[in-house]
Amino acid sequence: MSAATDQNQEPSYLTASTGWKSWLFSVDHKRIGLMYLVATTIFMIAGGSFAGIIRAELFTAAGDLIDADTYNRAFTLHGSIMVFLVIIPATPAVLGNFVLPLMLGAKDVAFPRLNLASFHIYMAGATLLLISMILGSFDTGWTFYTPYSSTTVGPVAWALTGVFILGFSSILTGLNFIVTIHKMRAPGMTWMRLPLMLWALYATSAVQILATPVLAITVLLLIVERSIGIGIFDPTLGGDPVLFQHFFWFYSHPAVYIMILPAFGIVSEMVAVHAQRPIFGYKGIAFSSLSIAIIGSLVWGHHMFTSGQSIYSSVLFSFLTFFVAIPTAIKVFSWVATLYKGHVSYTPPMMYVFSFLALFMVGGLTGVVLGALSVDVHLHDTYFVVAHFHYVMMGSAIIAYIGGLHHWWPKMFGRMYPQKLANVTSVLVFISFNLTFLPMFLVGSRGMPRRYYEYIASYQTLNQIATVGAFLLGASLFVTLGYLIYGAIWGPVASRNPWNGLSLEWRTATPPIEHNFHGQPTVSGTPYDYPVEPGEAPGEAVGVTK
Amino acid sequence: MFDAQFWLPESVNALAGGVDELFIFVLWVTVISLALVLGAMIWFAIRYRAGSGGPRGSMPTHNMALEVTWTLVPTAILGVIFFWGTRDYAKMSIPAGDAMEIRVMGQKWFWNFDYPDYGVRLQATPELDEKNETEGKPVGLVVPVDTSVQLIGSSTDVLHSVFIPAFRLKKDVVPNRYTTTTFVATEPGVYDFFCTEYCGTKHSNMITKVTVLSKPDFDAYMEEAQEAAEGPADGATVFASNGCAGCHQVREGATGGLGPSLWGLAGREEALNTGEKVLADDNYLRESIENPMAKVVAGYDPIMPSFAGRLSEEELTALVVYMKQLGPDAGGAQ
Repeated sequence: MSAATDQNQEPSYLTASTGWKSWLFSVDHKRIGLMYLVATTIFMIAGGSFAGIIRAELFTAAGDLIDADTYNRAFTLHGSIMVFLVIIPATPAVLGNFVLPLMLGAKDVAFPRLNLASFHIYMAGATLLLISMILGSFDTGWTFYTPYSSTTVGPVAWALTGVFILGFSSILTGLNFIVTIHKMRAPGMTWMRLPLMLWALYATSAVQILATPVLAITVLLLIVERSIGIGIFDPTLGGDPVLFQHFFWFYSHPAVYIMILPAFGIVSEMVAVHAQRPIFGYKGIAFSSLSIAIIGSLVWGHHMFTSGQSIYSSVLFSFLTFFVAIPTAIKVFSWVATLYKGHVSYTPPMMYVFSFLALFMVGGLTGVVLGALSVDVHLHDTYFVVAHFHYVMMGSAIIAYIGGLHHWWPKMFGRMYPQKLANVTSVLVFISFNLTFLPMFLVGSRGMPRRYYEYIASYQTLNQIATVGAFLLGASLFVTLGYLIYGAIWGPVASRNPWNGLSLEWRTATPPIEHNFHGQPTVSGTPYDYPVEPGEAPGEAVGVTK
Repeated sequence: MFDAQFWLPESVNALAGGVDELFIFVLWVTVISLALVLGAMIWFAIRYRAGSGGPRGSMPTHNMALEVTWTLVPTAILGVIFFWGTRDYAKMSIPAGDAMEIRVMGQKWFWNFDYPDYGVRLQATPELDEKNETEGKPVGLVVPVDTSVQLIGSSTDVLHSVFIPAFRLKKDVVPNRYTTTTFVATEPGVYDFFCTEYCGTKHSNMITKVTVLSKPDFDAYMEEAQEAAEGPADGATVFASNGCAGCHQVREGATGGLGPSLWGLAGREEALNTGEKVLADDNYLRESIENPMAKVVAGYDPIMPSFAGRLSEEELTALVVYMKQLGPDAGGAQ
């Protein structure tokens, strides 16, 4: 079987039509997913470059490489690009777009044109952020805290408009996914047979739809305040800066779950397929996604324990924060239990599962430290927090996303990357990640504040370790990008189902045909009905159902 | 690795007693959880690697007893952490009634520390700190040892945050309200003081020191400081020049006036015309000047004009300090 055709000689989605218009205006969810892949990868390199500038500056305690204002712009752009342009869209928009209809046994998402519109809106928002960079950039931090953001000079309004527009892309994608999951499941795919990736995307979409409008309204209010001077957050105009923090975190804390819930979905798929074993605690994992989405919407005030909010609010938010930890712990235990009596292959996706479990546990448990009120007062806004959220947002969300790319890469491009190199690189990524961020816990608990251009000399050694780690991490990620691209173009042709997966995307051609399936696939069991002997996974013939 | 000295700076705040212990407790919870879960992961990954002879039999997909256990055990541990953290947070947030008041004012990019009981203002800029250090004088915020101190913070521009790692203390200062925190320093010495809320170009230069002195040294230094630099703005002058006395009495027993008497107001429960009662704390006094219609005292007409924008942050705080000194308990009425 060649990469470009299946047995019916129908061309794959990659070759079904040609020319730039056939991509840029494609309503095929797979092509849209790939365009998001290209865009988010470019932005990740940009955001990573700013991280490189930050770490280079922090190699010594004195501010010597760049000036303070440039430094402030660099960390603002690093945060804004990584959050708004990379992590929030990465898993839902890249992998979600590609696999969601395939896993459902559907031809496409429910609203293909809306899906394309989401991509164009995303690019429009990203363009505005880029314009603000060209216009001299902004220095508010990605959090846009008022009244600093109301008063600082620079193209803040451009950036805010960009964020406002990006929000709509997110909302529309979420809407599309929810409708698709409700209405387009293959015959026989009951809710309890839904792949866990789709449960995770469902919970993510709900949060996107409910929380993102609040962000949009908040940045709109801030634009209004900056441009026509109506006081909302700026005290000199009669506004309240702490109100901004409530509004901002009302979105941005749930946004953490927009980033991490899809990662839970990816890991659930990978651990079952690469251990060739039924997932342990399917219902526990599915319902914990939903309960995390619900409770996670009620904990925003834990970002504000030192802000001057009432101490009674702080106690309540701390209490609720610990409640998010419980379903999260249940998930971790279930993934590990899934390895028990399995047939664990040390494939690259499984290596990323191992990485994820270790890094996510560190990220989650240090979140427990920060949820405790008295300890948070000391650690808030120090490097301890920086380390914590990088373990969650990069060590967990991005690591799972990269693992997911390794899992679905052969399906996306019909070719396989060099697996041994991938395994070695995954270990390098893991080691260099820890080298970068473990020292930050220590330098933070010892008192180093975040967003510091210069720092006192006693923090220097730990910062130097982190900087060395960061550059190794960057190099490892470039190797990853290199072999993935190499694999997609020159790698050996991949079989239809290289990992012996049972969910529907493995039943169609590799790469899939434009309309995904020749017939309507049907489902008669869960996607985790292992054990299955190699070669006996269902649907080796096109369109045939189990 | 598992002692507080490795992870945290020295602790010299009598109110922060439980913080380090809780940090180390959660550290142990973290390490034990990591060891158990990742240990199991590694063991399963080796024992049940594809092609190995590990006994498979049936592959369990759920186990009620196990799942209930791994839900309840973390819940119990998290409950302990919640109560522990909340107990100490309350201790560190609510100042003792007799705590010495220091008003902290953040500004791009330096700190003012006002001591209303002494009429003293200390200032912390990198240049002043260096000068004080070379002259052998106390640097930055100066406080007496073994004394309950409350910091009441505000800002004249953007958000800043007071962070004293050795006190395990952090509180944002905000431009439209007062925020309060408290400590009891236990060891004379010099400790770091950082700004931890991003405030622009010189955010990382907005650092200074806390100097903890013995009580005699502190009193001597306050006396010296009273003579030296300019003090904080005088509230009585602000009160007079803005015509406040036209409506408000400030002497004991005096009655009449369109507005309520201010004698003994601070710290009292005040009845409002809505029937509610409100504690007349710093933020109530501040609000009553900037936005008088928000809370009107029972028996008075809502006629006071707003002074928002007509007073600087400095004058506003001077008025609040002045009002707090009008009363039998304040002692220091001037």
